[in-house]
Order: sequence, then C-alpha cells, then structure tokens
Amino acid sequence: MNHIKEHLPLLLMASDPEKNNPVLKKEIATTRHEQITKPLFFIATSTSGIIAGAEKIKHKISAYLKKHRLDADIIETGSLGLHTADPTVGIQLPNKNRLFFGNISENNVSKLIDLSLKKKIPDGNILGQHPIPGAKPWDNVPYISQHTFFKHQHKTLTKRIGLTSPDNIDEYITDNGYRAFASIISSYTSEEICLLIKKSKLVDRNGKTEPTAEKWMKILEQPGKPKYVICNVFNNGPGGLTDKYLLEGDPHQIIEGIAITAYAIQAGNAIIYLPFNFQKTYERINKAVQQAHDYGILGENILNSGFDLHIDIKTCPGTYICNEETALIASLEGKRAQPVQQPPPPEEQKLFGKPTLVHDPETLANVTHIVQNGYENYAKTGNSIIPGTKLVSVAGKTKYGGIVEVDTNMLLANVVKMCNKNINSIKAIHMAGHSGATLKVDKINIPLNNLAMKKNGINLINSNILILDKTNCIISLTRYFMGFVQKESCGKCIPCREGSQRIFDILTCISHPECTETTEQYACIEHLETIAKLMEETSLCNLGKDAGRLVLASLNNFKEEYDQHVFHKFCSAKTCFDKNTTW
Amino acid sequence: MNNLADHIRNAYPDKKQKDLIPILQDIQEQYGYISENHIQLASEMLNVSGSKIYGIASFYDQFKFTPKAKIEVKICTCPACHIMGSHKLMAFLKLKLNIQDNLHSKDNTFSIEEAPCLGACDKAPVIQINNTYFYQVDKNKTEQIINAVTNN
Repeated sequence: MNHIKEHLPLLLMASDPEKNNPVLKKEIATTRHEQITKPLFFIATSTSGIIAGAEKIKHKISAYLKKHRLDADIIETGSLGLHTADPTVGIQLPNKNRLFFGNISENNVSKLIDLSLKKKIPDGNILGQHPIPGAKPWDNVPYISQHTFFKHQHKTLTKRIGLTSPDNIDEYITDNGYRAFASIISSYTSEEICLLIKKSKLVDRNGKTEPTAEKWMKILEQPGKPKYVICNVFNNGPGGLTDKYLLEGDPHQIIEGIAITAYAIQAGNAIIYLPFNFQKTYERINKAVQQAHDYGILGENILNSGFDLHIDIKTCPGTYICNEETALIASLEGKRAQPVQQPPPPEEQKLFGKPTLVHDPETLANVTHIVQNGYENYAKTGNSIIPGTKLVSVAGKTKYGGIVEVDTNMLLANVVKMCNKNINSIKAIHMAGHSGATLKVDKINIPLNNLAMKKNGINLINSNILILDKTNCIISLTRYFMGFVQKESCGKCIPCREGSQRIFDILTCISHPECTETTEQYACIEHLETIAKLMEETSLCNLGKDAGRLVLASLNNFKEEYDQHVFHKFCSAKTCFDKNTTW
Repeated sequence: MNNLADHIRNAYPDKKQKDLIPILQDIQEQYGYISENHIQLASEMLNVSGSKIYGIASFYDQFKFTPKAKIEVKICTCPACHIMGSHKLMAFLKLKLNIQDNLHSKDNTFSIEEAPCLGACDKAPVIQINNTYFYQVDKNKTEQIINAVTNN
C-alpha cells in the first residue's frame, strides 16, 4: 500500500522532503522500484508494442507466474524508443540491475523467465542492463545507454519513458514531478514565468520559428475570459509518432507542461485534442488527468493557491487538416475543419471567440523540463537560436528504428548513421513526411532544427525520417504524398484541391503500365513544375504550400529518375509499371 | 432512437453546435454508422439543418454512412507502410475479396479501409482485422490470415 498521496504537500513543497524522514525515504524508494522484494516484469505496452504483440506477451507472463506460483509484479510501461525491438520486456530481480530484452515472441517467454530467475542470462534478445541505485550490476552485460541506438542520443524529455509506469502518478511525483508547477503557483507571477521561458529561448516545435514566450505574453495581456490552452496532438501527421510517444510514455510530464502554461497565461481551461484512432494514447492520458484531479493537482483552488484549472480530453473525428490552428479551432466549435484565410484572427478571438493558445505536446514537455531544471542549461544545449532537443522518428529500410531524441545541432546524417552502421545501401532519405522533402543520401548534413531545415525546403512539422533503399521509387513516393494531400485537402482553396489532384494524375500517367505516349508525358513534366510552384505560392495553409515544395524538391533532386520513367519506361526500383497494384 | 434522444438530452444539456461532433461520435460508436434518421434527430435536437449536419459529418474520416461490415480490414497507409508495399496489399485484397470501389463486399461481410497511421512504422506493413493487428505482412501471410478469418 502506497502512501505517497498523504505526503503530497511535503513532496511538492519541501526543499528536501526525504531529510530526517526515513519512512518517506523508504516509501519513495519502493515507489521508484529501487527497493524491491519480489521480481518485477516491465512490458512496453505502447501502441507500437501492442501491435507487435505486447498484450499477448503480458498474458503469457502472468500465466507463467500463476502456473509456477511465483510472486512477482507485472508493470506496464511506455516504449524505450527502439521500436524495431518491440515487444520489449524488462526483468528486475531484487538487488539486481534491470535487464531489457527485445523481439520477444510468445514461444520464448517461458525460457526467458526460467533462465532470468536463475540469474542466468538467456542468449540473444538482450538489449542491455539499466542501472538501479543500490543494486548490483550483471556481469558481461552491456549497459543499455551504450547500445548503438541510444549512445549518441540526448535524452531529456524521454529519459523516463520506457523505464517508468505512465499509469502511476506516484512514480512521477517521487521523481520530482509536479514540484515545478507547485513552486510556480505558490511563489511566481505569470509575468515571471513568461520571462523565464523567454530566457530559455524556447521555440515552438510545430514547424514555426516563433519564440514560445512571445506568444504567451500576447495572450497574457488579453483581457478576455475564459482563456484556453489547447494541446494539439495532431501535430505529427502519419508516420510521425513522437507526440504519441510522449503522451503514452510520460503523460504527467505533458499535463504538468499544460498546467504551467495555463498558469503563465492565466487560463482556467485546457483541452487535449487528439485523433479518434489513438485509443491507447487516450486511455493513458485520460487516466493521468483523472489521477491529477484526484490528487488535487488539477481542479479548483489548486494547492491552496487560488488558481483553477480543468483539463478536458476531446477526440477529433479525423482528417489531418486539423493540424492547422484555425481548422482545429473550427472543428472544436463543431464546424467543418477548414482553415481561415490569412492573416489569422488575433489572439483574443479564437476558440469561441476567446483568447486561445495552441501548443504541441513536445513544446509542453520542454516547458516542464525548463521550469524543473532551470533555463541556463537549457539555453546552452544544442543550437544557439533554437536550443534544446528534438524528437524524431526513424522508419523505413533501417536496421534500428523508433523514436530518437537528439540535441538541435545534431546532423540528420548522424541520426541515419546511428540507426545503420552501413549506409551504402541507402539511396535517399525522406524527411518530415508530407511537409518535407526527399533528399539524396549525400546531401543530408542538415542539423535537426527548423531553421536549418527551412533552408532546405523542409517544414519540420512532421518529424519522421524515412529511409529509402534502391527498391523504393521516388516517383511512387511523391505520388503517394500527393494522394495523401489530395485526400486531406479541405477543398477550400483551389491550388491545393486541384493542384494536388492534377499532380497525382500526372505522376500516375508517367508510371502507369498502360500509358505509352512519351510526348504527352514530357509536356506533363513541365506542367508539374508550374503547378507545384503555384501550389507553393498561393495555397491558403501549410498543407498545400508544403506539398508544392515537396514536388519541386523531388523533381530537382531526382531528375534522372523522372527521365528514366518518361523516356525509357524504366523504374530502377521495379515499383512502377506494375499491373498488380492499385492505380 | 428514443434512448438516443434521452442520451443526448442528458449528456449535452447546452445543445449547442459545439456538441454536434461529440454527439455524432457517440452515434458512430454505438451504431457503427450514422443513418438519415440519426441526422434528423440531431438536427431537431440542436436546431441545425440536416444538410448542414451531413456536410459537417461527411467532412470527417470517423463518420461512416453505411452499416459496418462483419469483418473490417484496415490497411495502414502511412509512408513507412507504403514503401514496404501496403499499396500492393491493397490491390491484392481487393482482388481476393472481390471488392470494388465502394470498399464493401456485396454481402457486407468484408470491408477494406485505408487507415491513417496505425502506429507501428517500424513493423511495416501493418494490417488490422477487427481488433487484431498483424505486422510485417506480405501477400502470402495476408492470404493465410484472410483464409483463417473466413473459415471461422
């Protein structure tokens, strides 16, 4: 039985809660799984883990424990980030470091537990050991932080994910959680928080380069009430899993970020807006919000400060266009999610005509981190204009893939090398999904921050790195993205609606097995450039603009591949001119 | 239908336009699709015209206007699944299940849907059949899965 809730004021407010309090000290160590009396099994049941079969593994383990009458606990966690190793299982025996195993199948579960309980490490599958304070290390097992995939990462926002239980608020509180929020509502003014964030030089992670503090100050000055904070989980689009990862792995970190932001702009309401198909994410964040309300960290008169905050979770019925701020607000008001013509409405007239601040989860996680650990160190990390870290997801033809957190000066090329020792088989990198561009593999020495990416025509909204090898056709990929934009386009502005359709048709024409008219196709290519430029310049919102840029980049960087398709009816990847596919 | 009206009255006492999407979501959840009657009911409750409601509902991916098929096949079409061949799986499944453009088989046993990212890009391609996921599938594996599902 845990008593963390009883010690809440002490844990949140006292400068050193453990001092002269051995009972609490023991309580904390137990909650953090540092002092355990029975074996613990950690299973990564995030979305990616579940798809890879984590639930089945969990049942298998509990059946094994029941059969052998073993006293042990099973704890669900977020993923470590190495998604290619899903499903992963962690095993911690009393007084021993925690071991992590990857690619577990139902067949090798019992062998794994058998050997581990006898303190023999089974062959294969081992990812490494994770140090536990006061516990003994395993011999001849490398530390997980030394794994090729993790070695060069700069884990700050993701440092607890995969190691702690997202469903347990106690664990977050004993890890200094909510202390930052408690201290600011008791002894700081809103202006002071805005100033602190300004000094940290935090910049939004949503693809724009506007400093976060400036946005906050504008809204703080607004007299209108009530004010709203919206956490937009739509930010990433398909393939970008970083927001999902943060919410599923460490939801309390995001909630604390929302709470600090709300206090800084004096908002009493916050909304977490996530897509309808994020079931696991919804489950986790919903539970976390309820726990926080239950502990009095959210609600009315929080910790006797006189500050009220309610967080609602709403699910969006779909379509990626809701990523656009004005479209998102329209959909929350119960209308069609169509963006509003630029310039956008001023801050005082957004959701229901009230002052509204929209942030993505990654920015909010940064807010928590800055208030917890001070702005000085943060401002010194990574790039000097956009400091801090950046989360990216790696997928495609890669050896290791998943979520990577690096500082904002890390080169894209280094991330690719981190995931693949041998980069000779890689043909190209597609960065940032539908808002990005396809780059040749020798042109990827670009730092992972939005300033540098913008110079290369990439809008770092989606942070997916897609690795392509010689079996992937660039034309087919560009056509895929145009199909996506065509489907997602709200239809309000003509360049985006008609342009994406036209480009899609042209790309179909040059790669279709039954299309043989070369001269017609040649004319098409010229059209392609005109249409793409038009889309880039005249579309209403970023969806169309980025799509135009994506096509232009693909045309410029892979001209020879387009030539091959048009003049020789030849696709080196053997993807196009295939009758057995959807056209 | 009466239950639904009661539910709306209790859960959304304001009956404003902002409640429209949550109401439609509740209907979708409970009935699996939104019928003309549902739209009419929502129209009367919220005092918004039916055509306007249909215009809003048809804008979003979550809302369907035909009854659910017995077996729903979802194919992930995120970029990672695409480069691993999900579009070929789509063509294969359409052929195998004899499904034309409307994506429902004639007897409504099967439906195929392109899903926005299911969330396991490093295990691509991923398909979902009702509530079960299958990862790193190819043509042969998909055929086996579909045969197993049909025989059950």
